[in-house]
Amino acid sequence: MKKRLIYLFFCGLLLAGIIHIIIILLIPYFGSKDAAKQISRQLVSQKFYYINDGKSLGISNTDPFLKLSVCKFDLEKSAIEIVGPDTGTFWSASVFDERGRVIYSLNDRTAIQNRLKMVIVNPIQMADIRQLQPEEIESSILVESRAERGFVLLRALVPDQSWESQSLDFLKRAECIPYVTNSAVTPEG
Amino acid sequence: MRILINIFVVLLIGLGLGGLSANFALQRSLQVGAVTTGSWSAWPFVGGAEVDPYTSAKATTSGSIPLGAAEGLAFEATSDREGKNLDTRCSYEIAGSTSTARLWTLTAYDLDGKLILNDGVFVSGVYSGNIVRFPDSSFVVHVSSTPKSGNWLPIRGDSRMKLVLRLYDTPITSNSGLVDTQMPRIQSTGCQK
Repeated sequence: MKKRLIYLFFCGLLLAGIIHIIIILLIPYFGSKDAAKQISRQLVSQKFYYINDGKSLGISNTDPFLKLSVCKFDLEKSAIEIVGPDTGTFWSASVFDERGRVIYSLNDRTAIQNRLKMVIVNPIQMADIRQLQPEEIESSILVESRAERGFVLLRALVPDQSWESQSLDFLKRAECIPYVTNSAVTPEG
Repeated sequence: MRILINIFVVLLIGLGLGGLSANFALQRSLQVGAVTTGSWSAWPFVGGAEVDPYTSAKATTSGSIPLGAAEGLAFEATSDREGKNLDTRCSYEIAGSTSTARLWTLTAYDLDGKLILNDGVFVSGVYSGNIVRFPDSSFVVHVSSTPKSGNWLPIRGDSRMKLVLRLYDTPITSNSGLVDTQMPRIQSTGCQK
């Protein structure tokens, strides 16, 4: 009888271990509080959304001193160009894949001439750009993403109300537009 | 009949312990994949491709969006330097200095990731550009429900909380541990009963 109980307990323990691992591994796929999932579900792509309060998109742990703007992209439709106006405040940008993993990140000091100018492409579009070498790409940061879908998140510093106009201006004027190489005008074409 | 009871017992132990332990691992924010300095822990790989499953699951359930390496690094603390849980009924002094960063913010959240105070008048947070410092650039931030002179981080309520110190544009994320991470101490200065 005692032997049987010990045996059952160890079987249970083994099952517990398996279930523990399964739960941990499956949470990223089935979790509903996932901010990345909410963004993918609720937003329309190729447009920046200013986020005053993360609550509506299920984003928690937001920094009250940094305001956010988010743009969803789908590289299957087209490559995407992110352009922001000149600004004196601290800003940073991250490119995420659908599951909320960072593909690339930069801030105002690591950007070319402190300006937000970035083109996100998939490997095929990257090959096109390499071949055509369009001039405008020289002043942009090229980000190759293997994930077709994802989103770009801009953060701008708003430590107090006196900074609000400048930072909000940056976030609201930032553009997220389809990028098309001027392949039609190249002499080879 | 006996076999059915056996299966039932095994399932009960398995599902119960498995579920509880998974929940516990996420609630206690296990130190898997973390970089720890004093009471502070950061998960520098949370946004990366090499993220471990625990960190990944924790990020999903918390609903937060990680900072990219070029953006900065967020350090979390849920206990003071004596190892006691942080509580909004208590007052704390956060003293010392941080690692090099262009700017940082210190904020207080409840365990669901909601700012403790953010009502337009009070914000449970301080920003590195708006604080007073000692001549050697170290600082003291008073975390308390009653106003304090100097740097005051207002809190309210009677629940557990966590403090998050975010370093923006910091070299910590872009080196291989050559720069020592330096974080301020969290010292409890008494609790209301």
